[in-house]
Amino acid sequence: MKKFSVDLIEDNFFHDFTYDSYNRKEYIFKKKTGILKRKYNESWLSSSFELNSINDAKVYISKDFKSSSFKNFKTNNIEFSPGKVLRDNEFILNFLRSLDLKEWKIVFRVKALNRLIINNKNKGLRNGFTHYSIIIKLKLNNCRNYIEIGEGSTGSFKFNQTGLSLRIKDVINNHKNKKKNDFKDRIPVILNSGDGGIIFHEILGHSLEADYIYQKLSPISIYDVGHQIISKNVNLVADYEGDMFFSNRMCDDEGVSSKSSMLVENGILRNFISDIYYKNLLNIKNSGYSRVEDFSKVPMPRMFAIYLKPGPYNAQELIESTKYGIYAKEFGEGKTYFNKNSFFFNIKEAYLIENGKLTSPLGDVIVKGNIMETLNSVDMVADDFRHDKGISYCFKNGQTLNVRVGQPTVKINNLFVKSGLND
Amino acid sequence: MIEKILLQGKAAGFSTVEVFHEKKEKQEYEKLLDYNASHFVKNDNISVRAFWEFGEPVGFNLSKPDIKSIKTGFSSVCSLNIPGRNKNYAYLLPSHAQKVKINIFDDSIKSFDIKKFDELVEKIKEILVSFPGLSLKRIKFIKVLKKCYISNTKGLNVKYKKTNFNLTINFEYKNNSIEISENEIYFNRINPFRMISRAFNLLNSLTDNNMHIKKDCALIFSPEASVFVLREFSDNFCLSFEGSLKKISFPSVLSIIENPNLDYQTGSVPFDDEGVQSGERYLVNKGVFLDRISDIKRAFYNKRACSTGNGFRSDKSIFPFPRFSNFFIKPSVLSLNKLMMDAGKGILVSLIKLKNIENDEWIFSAYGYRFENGDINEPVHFYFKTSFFSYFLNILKVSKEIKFFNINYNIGSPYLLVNAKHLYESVLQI
Repeated sequence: MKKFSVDLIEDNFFHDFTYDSYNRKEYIFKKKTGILKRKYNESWLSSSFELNSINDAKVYISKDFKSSSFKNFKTNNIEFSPGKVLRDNEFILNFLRSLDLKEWKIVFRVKALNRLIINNKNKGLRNGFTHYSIIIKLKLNNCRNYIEIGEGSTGSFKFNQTGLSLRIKDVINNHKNKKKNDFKDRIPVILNSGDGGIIFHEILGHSLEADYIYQKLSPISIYDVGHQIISKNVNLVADYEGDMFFSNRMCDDEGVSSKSSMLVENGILRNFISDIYYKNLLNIKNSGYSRVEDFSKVPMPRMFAIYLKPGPYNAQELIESTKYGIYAKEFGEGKTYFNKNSFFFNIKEAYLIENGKLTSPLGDVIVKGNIMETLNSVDMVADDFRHDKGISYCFKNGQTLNVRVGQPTVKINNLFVKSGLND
Repeated sequence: MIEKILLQGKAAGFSTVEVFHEKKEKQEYEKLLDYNASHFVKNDNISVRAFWEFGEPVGFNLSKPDIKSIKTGFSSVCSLNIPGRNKNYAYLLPSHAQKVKINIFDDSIKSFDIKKFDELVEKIKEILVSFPGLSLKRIKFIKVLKKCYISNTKGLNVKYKKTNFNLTINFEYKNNSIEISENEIYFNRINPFRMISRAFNLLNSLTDNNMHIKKDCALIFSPEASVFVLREFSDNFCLSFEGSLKKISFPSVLSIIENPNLDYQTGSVPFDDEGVQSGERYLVNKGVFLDRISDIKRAFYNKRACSTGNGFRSDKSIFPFPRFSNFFIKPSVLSLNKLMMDAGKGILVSLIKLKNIENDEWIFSAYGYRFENGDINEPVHFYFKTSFFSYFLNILKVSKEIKFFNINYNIGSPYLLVNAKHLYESVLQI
């Protein structure tokens, strides 16, 4: 790789307001400013400094970048009023108060990120990202752990409160009326449209990240390009045009712009998710997927948004075609173990499917599988594509980032299903 | 600066204000295949926690703030008008701290540079020659110099500085990989030979052959394996955890200690992030449960007299929460050899992985070696099920050789001799 240098100047704000069933209110805010300077000349050399204000970055900015558009880089704080947030969300608060729960917490968060990225090739590209979220944590009388239901938006603190209350009601009923089932064999799992896409993010998206490819950690290799690697029902695309979630992004955190790109087409591998460094090492076409949590860390190949494209079936047909399986409605956390070619996911609300119909509620369950076997077992893809509810996160090497996923209803055969942590 | 912040807080109408100022310099070096990287981070930030007469506190965190941005910070949280009607825990904040001398600073940190890292890499490669088949995947070295200043309007004004060195090496052996890490306050206490031997021992125990167990079995947990289980159950020794431990008596060989004042240990601090001082605290003494760790907030809400000095802030939180400093099972005077001889035969467990948690029962996958009459034999793999109470109740003996491991906090254990019952196939019950 040739010499490369990039400066990232960042101003970020974070407000967090928690209100709970004991009528306790807690509020914090953070404001951080800093610069991350990176240089590649046979090896990477980087440094990061916390600053008082954007103006102080002038002292640290690389000599070559002095003529950049730095002087026009201004950031805006986000107005946040806990009182107003509580008033605006009175419906959901009253709903929570009316429930028979051990305890509950509601967390309102807003995070605003302003970045200016200057590299050898550009004079300064700006990225903005503002994320508003509501997280409701419920503790049922017979459960040990909190159940979390949330929603996020890049627009404002306006949430679908009716939708949230219905989801809460469903999860509570599901847990209260759950029937314990022992699933001995592998069974089909139908993933709800929208948030279910996080599973494809975890097991396929990360398998396509160039650092994992280069380090041979991924079950997919560079030699798989152009070959059928997984079920032909899978069409995976990065940065689907038309979604507004990352619309204020001009480039990645190395200052490279990326276009919407087909990653897997009818099961055939087309592309990887890469930054500049691994693009050169692997001699692949695209980069533009370098991301960093904040200026004090080191960027790495990461996803912004990935979507599973719709298929030909009606969602109901997927359920009707299933003799015995589960329907996964709300999704929790999961993890992929590349060294074991395996993964697991926590499903917060699941139902049993018997003879093509949803029957008993199952509470929370854990689905597990082998990465490549699972990707080869994508049996049916419906036509009801939806984005997630705006609250998907990705954790990699100690850095947590907002990501976007989306998918239609999907049926995967042959997954292991186990009782969850709240049993 | 800190004094000015406290004055600003009072002027803004708060009755009690606490300032936590952290300055951190971190240098990372990394080698991975063709990838060589060095990353330097300089942090300088201030966290403020401010209390009104009643209600929950508010807080803010700013990077390298000047007095103008502090003023803006106070006016932002002041304008929110969210105080409640309940009594708060500001009165539990300490007003003074005594001087405590603990060895947690290595002066040589200033002279550590890329050349020393290269020397370290060379040394590791040289040692590896003696371990045929073991290959190096990645080496990462981190040195951290941290300075903390804590003050509040009740009169507390204290500071300390601390160093930390971390070496992490990823190894591969016969298609298995493992990450081994050592954390030390003093650089010269990091021992690459010990790390490589540990990796070789652990990787050698990774067999796919499930052991066919026919009857009850004695298990000796290595410090590493014991620490893995202890960490899983550590929430039970935190005040935020629900449930009563007072009714339970553990075996008299078991004592569990939390001590932030140990020399050379990475969890050591003269006081926590709220300025509360503490010393050696027995959470379990000779089998009798005595205490749980707490910060000021949890102490207040659980109606206990005071914090145990375990309120720590993470990189992402402004308010402290309970965390251990140095948390460990107290060693005895018995040697590992004595434990093995007393057991006769059994399994020396070297590595544990969590498989699942079902109905308050933890299921672990365990790797180790068979032993008989003090001799260590072939590697074995098995599973065991246990629960918090059942695990500690089945500890028979504790050795004298204690080792600490640092992941988020410092946790240590000697070898433990544990009684296990045969359930079915390769599954044991503790």
